Order: sequence, then structure tokens, then C-alpha cells
Amino acid sequence: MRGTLVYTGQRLVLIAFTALAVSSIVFIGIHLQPGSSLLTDRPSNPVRLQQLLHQFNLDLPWPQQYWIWLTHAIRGDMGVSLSSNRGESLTPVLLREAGVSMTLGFFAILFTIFVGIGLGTLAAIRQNTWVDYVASTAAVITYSIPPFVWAFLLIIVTVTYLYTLTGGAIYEDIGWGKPEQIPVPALALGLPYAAIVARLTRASMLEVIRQDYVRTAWAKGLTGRVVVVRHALRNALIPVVTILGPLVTAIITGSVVIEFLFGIPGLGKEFVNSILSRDYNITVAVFTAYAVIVGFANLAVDLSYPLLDPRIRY
Amino acid sequence: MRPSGLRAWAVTLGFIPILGLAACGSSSTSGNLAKDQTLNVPMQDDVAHLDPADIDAATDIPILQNMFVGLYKFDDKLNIQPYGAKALPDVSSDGKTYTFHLRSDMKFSNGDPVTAQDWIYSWTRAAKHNAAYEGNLSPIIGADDVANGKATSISGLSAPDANTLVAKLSAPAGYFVTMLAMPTETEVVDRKVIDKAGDTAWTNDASTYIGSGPFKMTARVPKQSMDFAPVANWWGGSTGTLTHVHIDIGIDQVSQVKKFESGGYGVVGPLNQNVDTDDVLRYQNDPVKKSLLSILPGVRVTGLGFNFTNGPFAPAKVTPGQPTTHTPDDGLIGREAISMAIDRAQLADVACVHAVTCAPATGGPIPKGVKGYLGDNTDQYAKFDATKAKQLLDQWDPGKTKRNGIKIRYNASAINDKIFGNVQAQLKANLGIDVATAPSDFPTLLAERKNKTILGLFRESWGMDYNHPQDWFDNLSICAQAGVGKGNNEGYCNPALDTLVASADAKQLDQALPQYVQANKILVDNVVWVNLIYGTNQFLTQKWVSGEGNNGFYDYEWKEISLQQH
Amino acid sequence: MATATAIPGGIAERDWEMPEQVGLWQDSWRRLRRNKFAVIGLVIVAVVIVDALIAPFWTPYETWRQALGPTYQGITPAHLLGLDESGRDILSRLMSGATVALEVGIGASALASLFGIFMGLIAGFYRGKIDAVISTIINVWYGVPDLLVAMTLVVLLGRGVINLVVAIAVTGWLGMARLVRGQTLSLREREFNEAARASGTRSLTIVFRHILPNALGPIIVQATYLVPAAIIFEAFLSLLGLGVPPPTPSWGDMASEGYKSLQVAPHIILAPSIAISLTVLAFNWLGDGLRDAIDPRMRR
Repeated sequence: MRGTLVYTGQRLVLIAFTALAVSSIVFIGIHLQPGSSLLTDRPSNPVRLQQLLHQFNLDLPWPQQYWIWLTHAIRGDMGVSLSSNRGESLTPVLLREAGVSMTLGFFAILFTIFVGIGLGTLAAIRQNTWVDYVASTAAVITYSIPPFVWAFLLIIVTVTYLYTLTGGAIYEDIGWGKPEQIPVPALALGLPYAAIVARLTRASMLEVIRQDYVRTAWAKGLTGRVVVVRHALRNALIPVVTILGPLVTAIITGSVVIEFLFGIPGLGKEFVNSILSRDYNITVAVFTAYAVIVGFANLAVDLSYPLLDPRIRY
Repeated sequence: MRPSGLRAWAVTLGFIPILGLAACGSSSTSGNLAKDQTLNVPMQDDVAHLDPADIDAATDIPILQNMFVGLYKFDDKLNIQPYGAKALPDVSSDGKTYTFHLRSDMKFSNGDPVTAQDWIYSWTRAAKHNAAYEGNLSPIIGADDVANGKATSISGLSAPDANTLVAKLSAPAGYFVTMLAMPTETEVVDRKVIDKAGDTAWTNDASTYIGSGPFKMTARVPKQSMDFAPVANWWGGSTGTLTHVHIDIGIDQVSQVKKFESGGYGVVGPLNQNVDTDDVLRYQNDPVKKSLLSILPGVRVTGLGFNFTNGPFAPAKVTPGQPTTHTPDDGLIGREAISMAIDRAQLADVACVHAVTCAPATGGPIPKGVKGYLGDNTDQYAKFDATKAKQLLDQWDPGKTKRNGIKIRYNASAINDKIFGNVQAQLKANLGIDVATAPSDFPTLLAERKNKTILGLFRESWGMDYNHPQDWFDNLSICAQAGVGKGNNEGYCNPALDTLVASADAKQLDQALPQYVQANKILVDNVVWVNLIYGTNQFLTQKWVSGEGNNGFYDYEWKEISLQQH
Repeated sequence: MATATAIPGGIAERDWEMPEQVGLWQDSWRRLRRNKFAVIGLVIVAVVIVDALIAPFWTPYETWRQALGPTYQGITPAHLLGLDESGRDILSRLMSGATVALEVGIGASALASLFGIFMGLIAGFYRGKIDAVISTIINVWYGVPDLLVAMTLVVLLGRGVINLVVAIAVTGWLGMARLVRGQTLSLREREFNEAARASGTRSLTIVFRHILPNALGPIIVQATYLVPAAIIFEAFLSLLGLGVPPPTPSWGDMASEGYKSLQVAPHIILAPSIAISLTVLAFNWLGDGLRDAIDPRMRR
């Protein structure tokens, strides 16, 4: 227990350090980018530009600007918008968008885990049957098709053809705000990763199944087999859990593109817009938020190992 | 007031084919208003500003003009109509004093009356805010001093009584009233509300965000949505049949059309964002859907700019802001070659859905439909002639050195990729030069263009602010704008043109027009821009939405719209 | 993205038990040939490479030439895959797209691998403080979503093949560094290294003579996985408007243009999507095959 606390403490320090490092590097990086959100294609007035730079602290040296950003960010104030409705507080907007992204990511991960582990287990206990071959081949093909191609396919099917075929009766509204708008983008986001989880589950399940005690139990018949699947799955899941960390990172990254394609108002879409419009505060905030989310997701995954495998302790 | 039948009449004309084509006849019988008069409209990005004094983006105008009122406005035919004023102003014989007679019954949506003092307050405040359209006030004596912080009140403004506003100009300006009709920072705001809520905070809450237009804001979630409702007992008369306008924010072009098709939006396109070209094509090819697509002439020209102060196309190397008239003009033949090598018909065919969403620009920089337009096929360098262009190129660059490494800089977008991709292909095919496209995001292009650091070709595009050629010259072509960081991106500075424009600016438009045309011709003869295409505005309108009128300036009045049963 | 950098990286990072026989490579090659999927993958990769070598010199039409016929024209005998939204020949652009895809894919994989190997070797070989610093950098950098880094860099550096390669490699090296570090740590302890040190061999020689050759198998597998990852990454960036600038025919760009004309002319999106998917699939099959061939224990 004590070990776990120390371990968690160390990890939290690392997350804080990551956030600090990422935010400062990104802060410098984006300020090096040419152009500014304060310019328009109207003839600009130098006096006005100077006033605006001053108003938003953009005329200060970078270290000082960064310090101002950091001290506000720690208190939960993400600064103000520099592009749309300039000067408006970003905190409520970003919080709302983070909620959207996390909802999407949550369902994608849920889908990934359940479908991936389910298919992987099925393929393993039916090893070398057609079920196994179909599932394994489908898995490789699925994860080799880039997520955005899945998104294209799903959009074509749900938005265009279903609508045309059913004369408008079935229509998947792309966008966000209604519960029925969640499954399709979550599917597009989770599908390739579900394939990877399936492959991994199958492989590690097979290793467990090959062990003697399992074979004996298996021979005992149906009830025994249920026990086996349950027992073996528990052991087989340990290596699967190890990739949940990278998986969360991948899904967060993937959500940037999925949000963009499905028009979902999440952090990813906001990030893309901010970087193209030089809305510095948003870029730094979202970048850092992602690093922190990934950090905590990985920590959660690592802390869940002992639950699955009592031999592991921190 | 503008006769309200005018817009309805224009719209009916546009919609006759729809009524004929509509398959389900019962749904489109006129006169049956839908029970729910909520208009849903999408927009791509959130407004840049809610405060009329800060407006610097074209996207804000079509929304804010339903909430705020200026002295004048444009109608469908781009004529000036009185709005907050009773009639056109009395102008003194020297052209320097304008007396505006204001409507005495005008009120803000909270009931506060609008007086001449409110106009003075609003204009002074706008000058202080010094945003992108501050220039609309600069003819008034002292306005620029307020903008630059040298004064706190505009000395040229006075109010002899509550319903009379007098503006004294520093020099005669024939375009002044036209400028005032542009729905930007000359719109009136309520001093009492702003003083109480704070100069920036008043726009944050629907209860203090007060205007005097037919609609008021009822709710807003940043980057998500805005809601508006008509003002009860509006001083200007009827607010129409709509009871609610809901704007979804953050919806990209493709999603907008998808949701339109499921009935989620009544109109797509009006909030200063066109329909994606591929969707235009799809509607164009579909006999039923075609009737939902309307294409209105735009007032935008898109072309290629040259650097006049440095690089291969400059007449000679000069400091930006200095005259660029140099004989011989070292770059002129090169500019002519580039212009003549581009077949605008092919460009419009490829980039604009077979020339549906834009028209070849053959009449100079000021687009068709705006006063000062030179007329079709008047730009001699817009005439495609590959052989001539090749000759000119070799004449300009006999050593074959200047033609290497030319880049086309533009801001990446679906339509720009198509336009400048085609230009690149044409220059390669017709001149044999390997021009590279170098797309970037908009802030990068803006900064480098204004700083005159791009030596090759760069995207230029201008949507006219109001129907007056002065808008073009004073913003884009005069020496005062040619310096580093200013809006004359080419750095083109011709004292002869300045004199001509200054003289024209002082006159009323009908007398000034010949001089503006002459100035326009100078721009064409010197190939300051390669004028490529004139834009259009595209809309998708459900057949149950009527009264959606529009002119090229995005003037878009919700009070004219009503929803039929469907 | 991260399909391949994050996850196959994770798979490849598992313990590698290195067989020590000299005939390892012949054995591996024999095993690879017996693997159906790996052979199919190899054949497709070979086709893509040949195509990428031919395309700069010959394509049926010039890839940039527009208005070859009506825009959005479907399949005709003259244009076997039809014309795109600007009236360009899709087949020619598809062929040239292979060049861009491999430039980006192999370029990013090579750059990321070189840097990753370098960092991994240093960390694993010198251990101690150097290892601590490098490992911390890797751990911190691992927590940063790669696509965001690449986007920021592309905006900063400008669009172009070389900048894309750099932007992708900047995060792509992490998996390789972790792998090589692990390999080096374990190989370092091997007896023959001890022996080499005892006989006074310089550390550089140990690295290049003993450690690197023994770690080569997993490195090749990891580098193979990096290629499709980079190809997908490029397509992602194209979709967001940050890919190779037009008119360079990149598959990602073609797909994102095709997406816009999905309902008007579905044939435009089809060709590049299939090309990307097949190439990625082939590289993944090849990578799986190589992994199984080099380390039979991993075989399922």
C-alpha cells in the first residue's frame, strides 16, 4: 500500500513535470509561428494593433507572458480568446469541449475493449477454426485501414446511403448534442484499436490456454470451459492492459481527426482551429490538457495491474 | 423606409421555378405559415466581435445588423435607404457639412429612446475603439484624433437638438453617406447600458446586450450557439413572422449541407459563408434539388498580387510607401505575361463548378455589379493568349533567370486550393514555368503580404464593403496604404492615381464616376493585380422558407423571412 | 494515428530472446518465405516501390495537368481511374502518390530509427545518469500526442515533404529508442561483451561489432512498422490541410479532396483510400512476418 502511494506520488510529479515541459515548449513554438490572430485583411491601423498587443500582454517578453499564463492556468483560468469574440474567457468553453471529447473517447475505449477482448477470446478458444481465421484476418485488415478511411466509409453508409435508401427514414445526423450521434464516430475512432486489442488478446489467451492446468479443466466439459475462459481471461488480460496506456494516447490523437470529420465540437477540433488562427491560449491549454489526460490515463492503467495480478506491487 | 414589397418581389421571382417543380404541391401552398416560426441557421466560426464598435470581420455583419441600426442601409439593389435617419442628409454647398434628420420614434430594445446624443456617443466610442472600420468615420473632423488618442471627443460632431445630428467633414467626401450605410461601427449603441455594465462586459450577457434593431439576443453559448427573438413593438414597424432565430456555431460547410438535407436548417450560406463547391455541383445536377440552390452575384474579386517594391515583378526596387512609378517599368512585361497566360474561362470551369459559382474577371479589379466597374472584356490583359504571353515572358526574361523559383502564396482552403492549383497548372502548361504553390494559414499570409516580403505571386481577394469605388482605392491602391504593414499589399504607389482619387473622393458619385473609372483603368494598364474571378454568394434555401433575400453585401434581414408549412 | 507507432511499438517492445546462431538470417528468410501473408505483403511493397521509382519518369499523363476532360469525369478508356475535381488523371496521380508516400514513409522511418537507435544505444550503454536523462525525456515525450506535435511543427516549418518527415520523426523515434535501450541493456551483460572489454576493445567497437548486429532483428521489425505509421500520419495531416502542398499528388491529399466530392463523384476517393490501405496492410503483414521469422518464439 505504502509502495503504491510512493509510486503514485512519483508519477504525479512526472505528470506535473510533463505539463510544465510541454506547455513551455509549445508556448515558445507557437510564438515562433508567423502571423497573428490580431491581423485582419482590412487595412490595419498600427496604433490599434499596439493597443491590442498591450491589452492581451502580447507585447511582453515571452518568459513573462508564459509566467502569466502559468500562474493563471494553475488557478484554473485558461485565459481569453484571441480570435473569435476576442477577450472572452476560455475556461467554460474549453471545459465544455473537454467534456465532449472525453465522452467520445470514453465510448470509443469502451467499444475497443469489449469488442477487442471479446473477439480475441473467441478466436483463441476456437483456434485454427474458420472463426479464428476470419477474426484474425479481419483484425489485420481493420487496423491497416486508416481510421479516417473508416470514418469516410461510415459517413457514406450512415449519412448518404441509408438516407437515400430509406427515403429519409433512417438518417444519422453527423454532429453532436444528441445521444444517437455518439455511436458512429465512437465506432470510427475505436475500430482500428479494437482490432489491435483483439490480436493481442488472442495471442496472450493462447499462451495461457496451452498451460497444463487449463487443458485439464478444459477436458472436464462445459462448466469447466466456462471456468477456463473466466480464469484464463484474467491472466490473459495482463499484457492487454499494458497497451491500454498507448491506446488511450492513440484514441486521444485519433479523436482530433474524427472530431474534424464528424463536426464534433470537442477539444481536438478546437485545437486544429486554434493553431491555424494563432489563438495561442487555446493551443497551449489544449496541448497541455492532452498531456495531462494521457499522463493520468497511463497512471490509472499502471495502478490497475495489481488488481489483475496480485504478484505485481509497487 | 424602404418599400418592404421590393425584397418580397425579388424573392418571388427567384422562387417561381420552385413552386412549379415542387412535387408535393400541398406543402408549398403559399400563405400557410408553419406553427413553429423558428429559423435554424448554421455558421462555421463564432462571431469575431459582438460589439459593433469592434467589428473587423465580414462574418459578424449579417448577424449584428439584425440587432443594431445605422443611419442608412442598403436594399436588395444596393441602393441606400434611410434607417435611423428620416431621409438622406442635407449637404452644404461646400460639401463639408452634413445634417442628418433622425427618426424621433426610435428606441432601444430596452425602451430607452435614441437621440442625437446617442449617435455622437456611439461614433465617438467607435473611434476610440479604433477597429478595422474606423475609416468609415475618418472624414469627420477630429475622428482620427480620437482614434489615435489625441482627443476624447469628435470635434466635428454636434447635435443642435435631439433629432438632428450635424457632421462637419475635414474635406468634401462624396462617399460619406455610402460608408454610413455599411452596417458596422456607425451603428448606435445604448450609453446607459454600457456605462452600467462596462465597456467590454455589456456584450457578455443577453440582458445588457442591447441594440435598436428588430431582433434581440436571448441566449448565447460561446462557440456553440446564439438565439435571437424579435423585439416587441419595434419602432421600425413589423418584425415579420419569425419568433426565434437559432444559430448553430462551429458547423463546417459539409456538415451544414448534410443537416440541411435532413431538414435541420432552413437556410445554408447566408452568414457570409458559401456552400462547398462540390455540394453546389450536386445540387446543380439534381433536377429537384436545383431549385433549392440560389446563386447571387457577389461583390468579391480574387486575383494574384505582385510586389511592386522588390523582386522580379517590381518596376524598380523602392522602399514601401515610396512612388513605384519608374520608367521603364522593369516588371510590367512580366506581369502582362502572367496575366495573359491564364485562361480565366478554364479557371472558372475548374474552380467554380463550370463557372456557376464565379465568373471570369474580364473587367478590372472592381467587380461586376459595383459602381466603377469597367465593363465586360475591358481588361486587355485578361484576354487569354498563350503565344503572346510566351513572347512577353521571353522579352521580360531573356536570360531565363527571373522565371525560376516563383511561388504562389495563398491561404489554404478548399476553394483556394482549386483556384491556385489551376493557376499553377496553367502557368506551367502555357508558359512552361514551374511555379510552386505555397499554401499557408491565413495569419501567415496576412502578415507577409502586408509586410511586402513576398516577392513572387500572392493571393489577393477583396469583397467590396459598400457600393462605391472609393472603397477600393482608399483601402487598396493609394500611397498612404503602401507602407510596410499597410493594406496596399502590392506597395503600388502612383502619385498621379492619388491625385485622381482625391479629386474624385471630394465629389458626389455621379460626378466622380468618370475619374474613378480612369483610376481603375490605370490599375488595369499597370497590371497591379491579375484579376482572376468575380465571386458569387451561394445559398441553399428550403422550399418552405420564403423571403430570404440577399444582396452581394450579405445584407440579410430576418424580419423579411417567414416559414411555410412543411 | 499511433496505430503503428504506439501500439505495434508496444508489441515489439516485448522481451526479445535473441537466437545466437550465425545462420540466423538464412533461417529467418526461410521462415519468412513460408509465411503466406508476409509474402503477399512483400509483393505489394515491391510493386509500390517499383511504381514509386517509375512514376517520376513516366506516368500516363502529367500529374499536374488540369482540364484533361470534364472535371469529375468517371472511368473512361483514356483515363482508367477517371478524372478528379480539377480534371487531372487519377491513375497518374495515384502512381506518383506512391513516390510521395514512400518518401514520407521511408524517410520518416529512417530518420526516426537513426535517432532512436542513437539515443537508445547511448542510454543503454552508458546507463547511470545519461540513461536517467534520456529515459525521462522519452517518458515525458511519450505523454504528448504525436499528431498535435506534428501539426504545430508543420505550421511552424511550412508544408513540404522534408518538413513532414521531420515532424513525424520528432515523435516517431521514441518507440525505437525504448526498444534499442532495452536490447542494449540486456546484450551489454552478455559474456562476450565482458570478454571483449577484458581484451581491451574500445566501447565504440563493442557497440558496432556486438550490440548493434544482435539487436538488428527487432530494429528492422520496428522500422518496418514505422513506415505505414508515417504514411497514415501524412494522410491525417493532409486531411487537416497540413500535408504536402498541391499539386504534389499525395494519397492523403487525394483522399481528402475525394472526401469533399464524395456524393458527386465517389470514384475520386476510392483510388487513394485503397492505395493507402493496401500499402499499410502490406507493410503491417511484412512487419508481422519479419517479427515471426526473426523471433520464432513470438509466433502465434
